[in-house]
Order: sequence, then structure tokens, then C-alpha cells
Amino acid sequence: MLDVDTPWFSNLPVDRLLKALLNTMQSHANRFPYVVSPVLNVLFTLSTINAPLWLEVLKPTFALHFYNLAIGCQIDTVREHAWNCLRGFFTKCSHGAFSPSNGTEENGSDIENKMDIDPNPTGVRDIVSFLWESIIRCLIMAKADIPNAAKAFETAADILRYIYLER
Amino acid sequence: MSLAASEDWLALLSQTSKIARSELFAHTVQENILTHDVDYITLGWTRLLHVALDLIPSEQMDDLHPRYVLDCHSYDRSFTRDLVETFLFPDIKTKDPDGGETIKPYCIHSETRGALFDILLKLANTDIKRNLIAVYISDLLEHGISLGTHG
Repeated sequence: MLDVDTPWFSNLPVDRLLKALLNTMQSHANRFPYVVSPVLNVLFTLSTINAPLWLEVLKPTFALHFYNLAIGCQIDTVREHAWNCLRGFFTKCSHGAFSPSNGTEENGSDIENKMDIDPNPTGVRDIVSFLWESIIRCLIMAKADIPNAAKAFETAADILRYIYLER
Repeated sequence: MSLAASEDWLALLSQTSKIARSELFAHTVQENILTHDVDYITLGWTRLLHVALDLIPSEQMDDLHPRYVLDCHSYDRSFTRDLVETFLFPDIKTKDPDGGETIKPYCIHSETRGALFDILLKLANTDIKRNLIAVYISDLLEHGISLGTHG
């Protein structure tokens, strides 16, 4: 029987989805530029369902997988898409984490709209910190791919300024 | 970390600045006269450091970076001086163990050098250092006048 009180997304197998997406990042996304944005966008959207689980699954390997896409990959458009997606997600999270309402603003929105804003500001701040740490790890590793590192540093500098403006 | 809190924000900037400095000096410059390839690692860390310095309140910048001291002893080495001597105007002739001379790589492309000069200007733009520069200039002028009078 359909349980109408339980939001549909709470039944998603987030853990398995995340691992599948990480595998796709590793196996397909670095060869097919059109795969990069959808994969990363779905991966980032899953953080809104269960931030602690999302962090638990991604912490061990995300930085390395992301590095392989965003700096290690020789295809310019793959790197471009990867950094643009990360910047977009970071911007959205920062806005939720540091806005005066701390992301808990109630405006009578329905469940679908609530998926766009994480209702747990602590979770969003943890994600912001995790993303920044991942970016720094990628920059440190970038010495192995110097010609591909320009976009990485440019995005990191933009993001640092953005945090300042949002806080 | 709650970046909304001022002290956490400063801690983030301080940490980012330290990582940038450490990575900058740990990296060997990859620029040479044979290619136009910019060393994006040196350029990138320099620019990230510049952003961090831009966002650090000027009254706290001297606490985060060693002050410039006049004496030329080893303990007086400062970040500013290290930047100049490592990346901009190094001692080019360095004796290697075999007695020959090697050229230590340094930044030669204008994009990288420009970013490094921007950092130097930023580091000099604090109250303490502006006063220091004013004192130097006054001393120079006095010295120049005395030379002019007696010469």
C-alpha cells in the first residue's frame, strides 16, 4: 500500500546511488563530457536527502574521483563542466549555510521545493567544509597535471571570495 | 567549522594562506625560456594567497606573516624576501656539487611575475609597513641632502 505520508525520496537507496554515481565518475564521465554535469548534479542533489550519510559515503573517495575528472582529465570540456558544477553546488550550499534564516525558512513550500533547500543548516555547513577541503586536496594534487590546473585555482579563488561575501 | 563565526572565518583564511605558502615554496617553478607555458601551480597558489590576503583584515595581516626586519641574519628571513629571492630575482648562479654552475628555475612569464608583484604590494600595504617605508624614505632623503651638502 502506498504510504502518502512518507516523502518519496526517503525511500531512495541513497547509499547505493552514491556509490553507483562515484563509479560512473570514475569510469564514464572522464571520457564523455555530456555525462559530467548530470552525474555531478544528481550526486550533489542527493546530499539534500541525507547529509550525514552523503558525507559518510563521499568523504573517503570523492576528492580523488573529482580530481580525476576536474584536473586529471585531458578533455577541456570535462574539466570545465566539473568545476562549474562544483561551484554551482558550493554556491547553493553556502547560501543555505550562511543566510540569516540558516536555511530553515518556512514559506509553505511543498515537498519538492523543500528538496532544494536542506532544512538542516549544520548538515549544509558540514558539506561546505567538506567541499572546501576537497578543493584544497585537489589543488595540492594538481602539481601532477600542471597544464590542466588553471581552472581549478581560478574556481577556488572565486569560491573563497564567495564565502566571504555570503558569511 | 561554522564559517559564519568571525574567528572561524579568520581560521579558514589563515589555514588557506599557510597551505598556499607551503605549497608555493615546496613546488619547483616549471617555467623556462624555451616555452610559453605558464606554471599554473605557482600562479594558482600565488593568486589564491592573494585572495586570502585580500580578505584578511589589514590589522591582522602582520600577525599572519612574519614582519620584515632590516638586519640580514638568517632569522630575519621574511615571507616577502623569500618570495623575491625564490621566484622573482634569485641568485641565478648556484654552484652544484660537481663544481659547475646551475640555473635555479624561477618565474619568467609576465602573468606569474605580475601575480607575485601583486602579493608584494599587498604585503606592504599595512600600517606597520607603510610607516616602515616612510621611515626608509625619510632616511634616504636626509642622507641624500647631507650628501648633496657635503659633496
